[in-house]
Amino acid sequence: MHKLAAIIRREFLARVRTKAFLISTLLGPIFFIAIFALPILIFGKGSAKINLVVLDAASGDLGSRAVAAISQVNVTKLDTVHYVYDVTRVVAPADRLIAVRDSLIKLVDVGGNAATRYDGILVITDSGFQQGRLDYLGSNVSSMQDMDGLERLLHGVVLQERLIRAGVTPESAKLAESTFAMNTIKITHGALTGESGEMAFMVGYVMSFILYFAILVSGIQIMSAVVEEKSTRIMEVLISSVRPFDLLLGKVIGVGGAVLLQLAIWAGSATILSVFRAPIAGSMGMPAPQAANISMPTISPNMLIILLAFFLLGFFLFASAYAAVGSMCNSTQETQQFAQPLTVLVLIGFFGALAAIKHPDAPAAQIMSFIPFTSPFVVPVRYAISPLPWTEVIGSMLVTLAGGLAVIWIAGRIYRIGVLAYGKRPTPKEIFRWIRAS
Amino acid sequence: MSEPVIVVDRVTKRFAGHTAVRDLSLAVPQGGIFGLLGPNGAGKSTTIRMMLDIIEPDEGKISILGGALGARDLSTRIGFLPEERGLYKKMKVLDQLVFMGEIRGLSAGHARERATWWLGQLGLSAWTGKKIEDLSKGMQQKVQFAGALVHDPELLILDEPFSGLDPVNSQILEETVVRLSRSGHTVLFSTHNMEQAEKMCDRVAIIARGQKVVDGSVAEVKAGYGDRYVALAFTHDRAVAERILADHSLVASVKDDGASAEVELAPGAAGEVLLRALVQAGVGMSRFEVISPSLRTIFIAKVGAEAATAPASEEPAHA
Repeated sequence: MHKLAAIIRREFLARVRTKAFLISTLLGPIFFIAIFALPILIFGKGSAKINLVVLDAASGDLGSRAVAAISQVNVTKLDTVHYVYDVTRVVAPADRLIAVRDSLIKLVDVGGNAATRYDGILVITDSGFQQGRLDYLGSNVSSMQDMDGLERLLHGVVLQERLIRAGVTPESAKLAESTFAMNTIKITHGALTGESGEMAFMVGYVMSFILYFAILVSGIQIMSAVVEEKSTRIMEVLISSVRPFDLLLGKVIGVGGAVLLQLAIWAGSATILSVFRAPIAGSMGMPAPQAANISMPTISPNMLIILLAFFLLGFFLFASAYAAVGSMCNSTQETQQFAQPLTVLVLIGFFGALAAIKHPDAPAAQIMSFIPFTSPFVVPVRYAISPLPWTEVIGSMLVTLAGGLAVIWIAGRIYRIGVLAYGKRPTPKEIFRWIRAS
Repeated sequence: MSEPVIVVDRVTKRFAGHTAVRDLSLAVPQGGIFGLLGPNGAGKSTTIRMMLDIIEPDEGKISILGGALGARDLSTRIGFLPEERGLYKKMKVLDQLVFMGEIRGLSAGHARERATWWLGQLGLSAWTGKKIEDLSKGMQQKVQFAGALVHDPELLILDEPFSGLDPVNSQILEETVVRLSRSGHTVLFSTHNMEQAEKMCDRVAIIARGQKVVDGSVAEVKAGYGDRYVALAFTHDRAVAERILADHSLVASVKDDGASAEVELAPGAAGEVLLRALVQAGVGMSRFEVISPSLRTIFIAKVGAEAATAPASEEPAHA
């Protein structure tokens, strides 16, 4: 244990003490802040202002109501983009409509000042209203965001107008138009979890992506840590005092620990950022109620335990496999070639998780939950969608852990002989013989 | 004499295409300096790796420090300097030595203390905080040497410890080895430098082509060669001496070193006869001494000049 601890410490410090580690660790949170802050900085402060001409050729109050509805709008869309409409109403009799419209068209998208330049013309006519079709002519028609927002807005106006014309009071019409949303809350084993179904799924999905990323990044580091020793020939000293199993386990834990530390720092800074999201967004000029509305996922403790457990297990298993690959190789170039089958395994797990999202209880998903290399990806996602029995979860964990230890043991065998067989690449037959050799 | 510290018992090791060590038996007694001698490729490093449990013999067995345990389980009591030097290039000198102490059983604090002491002993105190890659090759070798000693092992196994060092540093390491042996440590080192072994070792084993040629105490090894050798140093008329040294009734063989020579007397020839012949011919000499032969001479006499440089091999060399 003492020797193992020394190896873990050495490998860990050898990575954590580098400038590269420091820089990438600091860049992570900066990157998160950028993702979070950029949209606010770009759209949030001044908000998206749209200068609209409402060409009103309709009878009754339709035109004025539409203008009122649009002017009052202070919509927050996509949490961060904030629309404000500046409306100019132009009333035209029906027979002059085309002439007025054509003269207005000449004013749209003309002039250098974005704040005063007209963006488009909304044409409101009785015939259009009756046919359920309103024309909008503008420079921003290809912006799906703009059109979507405007259409939704008009939908409400038209709905109200139709109800009023059908004899409903304006108050009732307004009430009919008010929105409602379905709030989803997940039940697990007969108890409320407090998490929303969509969020649990998202978290499962995001975690398997992070796992995928962490494996690929640290796998390369672990392989080169093993190969490094072979190229500096330091392993004669190591292997004469430490069991190859301990040596590789120490490397996997040490290098893995450094990668996990980095991820933890990132996760921690992301958490802090999300807790203080309202004041941060506020300081960037976003109105307080809007900032408070920025939603973040909540997940249950059980889900969190499963996510972390499978993340660590999967990480450990793949890291061991990369160590085994490293022990077969003599150079970093060689490892890239040898590591390809492993990359394929990672991808199978990752896409297995994507498939399991759609069919969490399909036989294939159940089988993949008990295969060490796919279980770390598949089980958390399946659990997020529909909770598995604990027996299945724990069984799957044990299989994955046993897989990881077996891989390290095999890696130790290969290492033991592979390190001293420098200069020549082993054949599959030789590798098999090494594993069996006592 | 107490139990041997290392017993190599009829050990054979084959690699693809050649036998590196063949039916080798050795016993290294406790205390003193044991030299494992042989030309490059004789099987010295393979033998040492087997002693240390890095590779396993195909046949025979090795016991170390008297136990049934392998060298890895006894690594806290054994210090090892491998032939292929290797250190973590990016690690600082002191950290490296502390790590080497820790994997050989020392606590971090104790390892730091010992490592600092050894760095002082070897004149490396100023380099404690430097990275290995910033050190010269000779200094790296001294760091590695300190790494073998940091846990104060009772048995030291050093594979070619002095090769590649300048005379000053070589001298420092030689003195350290001798001092350790005086204080009761057992030292085994391999070398292809017979002169150095002769100077330092109490006992030697000479191997060639994976097989033992001769072993025993240096005195024992030399005893069989009695007064058959004469060391000569010439001052003038070296060419005249040539004719006399070619006389096979007087001289069996000559190791010609230019201004000096080591001569093996012919069977039945006496040293004074050769001396008289040389003096009468007018050869100027600053030295004429009947000596025990050097280990190198014995080695060449035993295995022949050709075998003395050939690596261990099953197969004949290909053109």
